[in-house]
Amino acid sequence: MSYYPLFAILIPIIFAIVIYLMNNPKGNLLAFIAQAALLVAGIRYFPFYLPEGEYYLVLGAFGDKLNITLISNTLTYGYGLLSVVLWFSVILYSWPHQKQSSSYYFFLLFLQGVFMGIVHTHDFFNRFLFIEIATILSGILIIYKKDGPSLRAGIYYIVFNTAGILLFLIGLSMLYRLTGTLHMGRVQEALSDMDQDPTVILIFVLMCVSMGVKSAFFPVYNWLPRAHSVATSSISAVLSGIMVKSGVLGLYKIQQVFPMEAYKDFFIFLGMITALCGLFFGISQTNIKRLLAFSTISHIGFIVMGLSSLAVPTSEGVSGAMVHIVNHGFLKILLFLGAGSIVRNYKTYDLDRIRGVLHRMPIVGSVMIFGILSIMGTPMLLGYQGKALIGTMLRDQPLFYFGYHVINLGTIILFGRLLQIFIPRGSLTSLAVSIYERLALGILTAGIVFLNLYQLIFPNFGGLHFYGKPFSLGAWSFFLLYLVSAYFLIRLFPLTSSFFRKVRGFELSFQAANYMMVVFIFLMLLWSVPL
Amino acid sequence: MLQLSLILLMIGLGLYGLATSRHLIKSIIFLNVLEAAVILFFLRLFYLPEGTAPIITSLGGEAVDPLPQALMITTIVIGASVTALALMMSIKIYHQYGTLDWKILLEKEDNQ
Repeated sequence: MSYYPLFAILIPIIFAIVIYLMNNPKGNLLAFIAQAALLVAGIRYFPFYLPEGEYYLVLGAFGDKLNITLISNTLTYGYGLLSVVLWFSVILYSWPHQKQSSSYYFFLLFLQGVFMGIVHTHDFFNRFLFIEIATILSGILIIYKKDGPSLRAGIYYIVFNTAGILLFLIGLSMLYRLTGTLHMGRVQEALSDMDQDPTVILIFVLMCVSMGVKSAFFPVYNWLPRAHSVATSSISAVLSGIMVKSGVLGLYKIQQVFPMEAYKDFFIFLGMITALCGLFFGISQTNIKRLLAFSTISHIGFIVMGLSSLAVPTSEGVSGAMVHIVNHGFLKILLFLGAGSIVRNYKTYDLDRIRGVLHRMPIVGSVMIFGILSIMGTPMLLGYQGKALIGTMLRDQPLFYFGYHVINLGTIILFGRLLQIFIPRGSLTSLAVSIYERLALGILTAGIVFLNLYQLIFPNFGGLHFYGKPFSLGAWSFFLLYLVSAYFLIRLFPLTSSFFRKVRGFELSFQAANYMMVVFIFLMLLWSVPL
Repeated sequence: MLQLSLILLMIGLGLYGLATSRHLIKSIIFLNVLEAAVILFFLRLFYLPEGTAPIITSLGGEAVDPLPQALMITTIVIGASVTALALMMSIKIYHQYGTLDWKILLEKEDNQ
């Protein structure tokens, strides 16, 4: 018996409130102490965690049918420890710029507590609650700079995401009426033989669409590049690396609870379209942060493809998705923080005007190159494992397998475009990067190298087996093939043409995004109609 | 049945308003309409004339399940804070750009 899940949620929130009440620069140091406390709590919990495997913490005296339930298993424990590394490096990175402002650390730490809540909760209403609080906090953090573009992006984000999460609430009310409980395990028992029931399908569709809005699936992705490209870099990193995953984790739980075999192909298809859409718009960007934001959409597509295999359980897809959630989080935070240092020193977002990063900022440059090579899916590096496993899952379906290769190629083209910032050209005088930023990037890189070695040496963790055969000849030959064709494609289609300029300027209006949300619901409902 | 269909109409109205209104404040109002509709839907769904108390059953008699009401109180609080935040943002946006029209706002971003 241990209260670790509760502590993981409450420690950051209590520290956040203390920081806000103290409201002086010295008090902000408590943000680091909060991370230390979380780490200590996690380490203290380790002996309890080992024999238990999976266990439930029920808060209250009326049984798990009515009370709040928190789950603790390998995945949540892993997220608890990894979040410490991620938040510590983000806090350290933003220290020289934000150390005067208590409210910044209040919102950042509160967000960590809420993310821990999203990970640990095991009933539907608390999931809704935590996701909604995360939306509010993310909205406040997006507008933290208080300039025009961030305010516009912030209000788009808040209103659209709140509308999306209300769909979850509609589904939740019908679910409670149908089963009499909101506990995920009990709901799963109650629904085990009801996958043809129209009400269950409607609930499933509404919940999936609202999670899709939260984590930017294909027709409702438009808020993400807008919000993640205008926020402060450390905030973009947290939002793009971690908070986007709250929706995907919700989708994972929903697919576990609802037995919907009919939607397996739909989710592969949806993930593929999402990934292709993110790549198509991402490749044509010239703004470095928008490019990274669109790449997040494409990786979300990957994860959705992997999660589709929950309907008919195969271990590769789910393991691939769960591993890729963590790996992409680390790599995207590294890239966003590096991009933040670059943007601050070069005073431009324009990819065509940033040159010679490796010569002018050696540490940031080398860390960025490592991150880019990893996220491209170079075998033996971190981004590869999850992608390879999802590829193994798709091998039986030729059309999807072809699409998978197109997406890998697109990822390499997208990050190949980012590599142009390392060409030594123009002034090569070195630029100053503060010691905090270098330290934060160093800690993140150490975390990535540790995860990478861990995944190569111990390819299973808590029932997941994530071995993508990184040493095989096939992996390397595919990778070389991608590299060669990416090189020729970049040469063949320069981005100066008017077509790409039109793609770059394409934006869905707010009304169209809401319209797309309704269309998304109808599309998913149509899928369940037997032909 | 009439109540339920009116509530469903309200949900549709909220979504329709979000998908069509060009004014930012109207969007926030329609978000509130949608939210109120969802809360009414939740509460209406659990008004069962023959319902009994869920935990202490020994009291007997008819009762309404209190859990949905507790959940909806929480939702109302969250909805109020979202509305407050969105309205605060729209004041700031109006000071920055002098307009609350979505179309003009988003087009201005392209020109920057």
